[in-house]
Amino acid sequence: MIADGIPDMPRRRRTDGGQIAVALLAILLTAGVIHIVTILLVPRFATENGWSRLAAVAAPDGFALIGEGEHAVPGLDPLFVHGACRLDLSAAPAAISLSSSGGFWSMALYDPRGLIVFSLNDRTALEGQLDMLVVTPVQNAALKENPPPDIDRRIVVETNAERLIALLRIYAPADSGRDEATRILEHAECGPWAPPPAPEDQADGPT
Amino acid sequence: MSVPRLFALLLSMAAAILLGGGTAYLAVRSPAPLDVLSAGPWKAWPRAGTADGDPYSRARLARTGEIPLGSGEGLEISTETDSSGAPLRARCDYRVAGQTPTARLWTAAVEPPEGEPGVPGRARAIGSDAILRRPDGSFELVVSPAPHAGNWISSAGMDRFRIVMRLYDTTARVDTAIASLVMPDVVAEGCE
Repeated sequence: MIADGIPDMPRRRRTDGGQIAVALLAILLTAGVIHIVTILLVPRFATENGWSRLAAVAAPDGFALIGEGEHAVPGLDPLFVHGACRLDLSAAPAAISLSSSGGFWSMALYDPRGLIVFSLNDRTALEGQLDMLVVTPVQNAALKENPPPDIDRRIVVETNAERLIALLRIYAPADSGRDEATRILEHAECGPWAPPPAPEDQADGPT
Repeated sequence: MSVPRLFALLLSMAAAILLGGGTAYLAVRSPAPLDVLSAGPWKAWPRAGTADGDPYSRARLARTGEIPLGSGEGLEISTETDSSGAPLRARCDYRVAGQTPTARLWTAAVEPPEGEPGVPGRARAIGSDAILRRPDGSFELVVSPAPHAGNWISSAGMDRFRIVMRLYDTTARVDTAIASLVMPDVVAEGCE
């Protein structure tokens, strides 16, 4: 099949075997390259990754309740109430605050690749109160240089990703728990961090 | 280039594409066979979504679109088969019995096989705080389309399904580095 018919007969038999071996090797090598390239490209071309599913429901200011039915995000625990908030660190650090009473909750920060940058659960919160700052390395340096007075009670998370989504999961197996969890979500704060006003920043402008 | 030679070249390229693409598909299909942690029929991907996940885990994650639990949150463990390896079907009753890895909280849920939205309905999931236990701390959970006394979750309305256990605030992630994961058995109890 691979013979090209022109070379002289005695040599041809040897060349055939060699050609087939070379062809098989080439097939294997090419297949290997295609395999590796495919694996590496899948994340780039996947249209529906975890990030896009969350981004469709996340709010830029505060935690948006991830609904049930057609607004549901598949793969989330049905016994939990979920809220998603979009963080943009390009201009300012982001602050997340929430207070809960007793029940289990956990939170994870996802980057646009769908990877988890940071995660924690309610055990990390002090007496049910969580105050968190999400900063870029540059913002973190500025923060260390000029620490705000309340920095001690804040968890500072440094990340290279400027866009993140925070997903808050609150355990609420019963209907009554769902109302309470929804209330926690509504009262949770999530958005650009405004540093506590320093004296020289206080603008008492004319009205 | 002669016609047979061109033909052979095209054939080889087609074979290479099929082989490369096919193995790539097999490697990232769900449930992915790579980077998996198994206990009986149960499977978990503890490094899914973490920065140290390998390219295969990332490809799988992007393809399934799942939103993994962080290491500070918990671990999702699921099975599509019973302990004998037969696929889970709604026409059978299953008894999930035994122990779970240490966790502050866990939930067990009946979900569709691959990422589709769940069939709505009550009693699809149960939390460890609602589980009745034996004196030794082990438990028994019936998965059946029909209601049962005791611990029960419903598989009604689903042809094939998987059982997903999510362990929260668990040591399962670190335990597994040295010891094996202890998960309950899933035994088929009678099929229609």
